[in-house]
Amino acid sequence: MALVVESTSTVSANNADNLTITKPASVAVGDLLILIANGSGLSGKPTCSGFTELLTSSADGNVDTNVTMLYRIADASDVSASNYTVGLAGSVSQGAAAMLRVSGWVSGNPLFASSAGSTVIDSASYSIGGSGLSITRPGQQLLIFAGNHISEDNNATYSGFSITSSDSNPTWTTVADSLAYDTDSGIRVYNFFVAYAVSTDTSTITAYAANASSSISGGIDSDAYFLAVFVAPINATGTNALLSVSPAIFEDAGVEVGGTGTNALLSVSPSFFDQSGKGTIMPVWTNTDKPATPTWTNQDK
Amino acid sequence: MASTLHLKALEIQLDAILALGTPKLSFMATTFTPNSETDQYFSDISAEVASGTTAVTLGSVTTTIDAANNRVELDTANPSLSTITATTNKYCLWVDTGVAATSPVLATIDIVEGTLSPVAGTLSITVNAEGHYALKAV
Repeated sequence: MALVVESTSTVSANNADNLTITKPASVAVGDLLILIANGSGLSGKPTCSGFTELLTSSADGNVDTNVTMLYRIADASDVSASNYTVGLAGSVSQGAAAMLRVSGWVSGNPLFASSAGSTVIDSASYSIGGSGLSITRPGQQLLIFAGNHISEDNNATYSGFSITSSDSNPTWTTVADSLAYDTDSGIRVYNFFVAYAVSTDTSTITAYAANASSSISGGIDSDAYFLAVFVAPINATGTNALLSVSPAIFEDAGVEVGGTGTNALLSVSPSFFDQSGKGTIMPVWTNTDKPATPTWTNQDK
Repeated sequence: MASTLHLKALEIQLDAILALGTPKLSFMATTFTPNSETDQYFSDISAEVASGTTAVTLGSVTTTIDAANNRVELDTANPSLSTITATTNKYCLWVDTGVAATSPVLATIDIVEGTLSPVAGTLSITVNAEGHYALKAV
């Protein structure tokens, strides 16, 4: 499903500690709500209950500033809500914000890619943006280019939003181009802008830019900005080739019989057979006595 | 007479490995290069799992003797993960014993289509009709 910006709302206020921004029209459960607001200083980022920060950029100039993006997936409470309060942290006492209601997202963090930058310059005309990028966009996408300018005396305007890729620059729609003053902290001039484009091009983005014109030269302009890329959900299904594993059967070499061998000791136990016996007593024969020295006389012949 | 392995024994061996735990599938980062010797257990490959994905518990795990092709095939239901933003070009099959260091990795299998890059979408594999892999007898 493609991402579509269904409705938007904006607000800006001078000498304010917080902002009340009206809910974009016709919010439905599941809509992606993108809130972009400016802030003061490098870390005084705007907040809004129930929203999660996605991206921020800050500019470290004579006067510091930042611009921050937050998101929320709408539920029933958003359907019944009428507005949101944006807290402006830090010493800021002015503010501007914009909210986009986007359909076509599902759930979770929607930010696919981004590039943030800042410019601090003393010039009546200058360019903001980034180059040397390699931002892929695998499918239909929503591009949001937003920023905030602060100066002690200069008012800035922005035009010529563009991205650089092998495809043509999409058509940009400006959602916010607001001017706010903070006279509580001395005169400070804030310019807040948000522009978006939707595209089905898929070539890699290598740069983004916008032209800034300052009302007067001679003052330091500080700009914080970013390009955010939201890609519509893409399913991906693959297949596998059957991995067939053949066995490796080792051929056993034959062993020649003969030659010199060894033997295990063959130990044979004896078997004793019972033997039957027969005993015979032999008679003892005794010669009769003969005269001990008889005198034998030969007979006459 | 040709030497051969015997299909029933191959099936029994495969079943025995699968019975060690829960068969699972993990989608791997495109930078992962499998090493058939050193990638022994899930703990050896867990750092190479594709960012944004979780392991899929495989359903309908079956081992089948394919006598016609003289092999034993391992097949499962089609694995899928929903609402995934990731990049992957291969997956590993492994058996979860509850301890990564004792969970054997069975196979690493390329995705035919190459690299898949879902964006907040469903990442799935339509498993080959004959399964993930087969052990041949000859």
